[in-house]
Amino acid sequence: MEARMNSHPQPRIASRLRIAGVLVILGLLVEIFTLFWAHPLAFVAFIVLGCALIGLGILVYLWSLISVGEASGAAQSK
Amino acid sequence: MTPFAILVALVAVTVVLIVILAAVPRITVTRSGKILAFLGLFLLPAIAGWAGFDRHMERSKETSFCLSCHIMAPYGRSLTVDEKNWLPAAHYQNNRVSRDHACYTCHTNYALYGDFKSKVRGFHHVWAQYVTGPKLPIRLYTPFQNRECLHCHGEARNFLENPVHSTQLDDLRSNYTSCLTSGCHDTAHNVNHLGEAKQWKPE
Repeated sequence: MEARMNSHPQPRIASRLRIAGVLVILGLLVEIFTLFWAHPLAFVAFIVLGCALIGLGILVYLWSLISVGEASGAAQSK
Repeated sequence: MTPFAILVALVAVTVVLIVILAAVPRITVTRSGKILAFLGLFLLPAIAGWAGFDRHMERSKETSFCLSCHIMAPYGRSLTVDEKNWLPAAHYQNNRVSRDHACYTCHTNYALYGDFKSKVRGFHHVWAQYVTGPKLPIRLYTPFQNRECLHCHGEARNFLENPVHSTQLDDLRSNYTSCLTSGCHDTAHNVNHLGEAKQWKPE
């Protein structure tokens, strides 16, 4: 039962991983784009948009880790 | 391989890992899949973000970065004035400062370069440039510090052996006597008189 549960991650966790991935990729694209533009606005765009997206992506990933831990904990207690 | 190429390669590897994770999220149930997710969604993006920040900070030290704002154009022109007593021009034209980092060499605590307070001022400059409009005339937030001169000249033989300097070394080091405003080296950017000055054109 446990092995079956572990081999099929909850769809919500999979979607969170995808959201985290999309956010990180968008942030990295902003970073690369701003590095081709030598201007103070590029720096601001990198900080406000690029870093925020990367940071948010990492947070969503960490959140998915916590939620998977909670889900397996709840399953074990049952 | 340049640092920028390494950064691009890092970003490419991260994107590939994320695409694999997004296509097959099931792999995260295995130990190697968890490691892959940790690399692609935490470690590599964090390293790439920090590397990008570092590169942006390094680029903000370039003369072209400072002069990319229209309002700084007169300060850029003051570097090529054909007058020996114009301090920034003499330093720039004689390679006493790196021409690529001319602004930063003498303004190490300005805007994005300095401490947290200075960095906030740097963002304020962007806000002022594009939203509220800059307050003219442009002034330094704090009086020019002698340390900006002394980090190069402070230990130089011709500086120390000059009696004008050697007799008041402590006052210069403590900023009690300013290099710029005490009547010795008082012609800095002098942008109000740029129109009267001849321009030097490098061959």
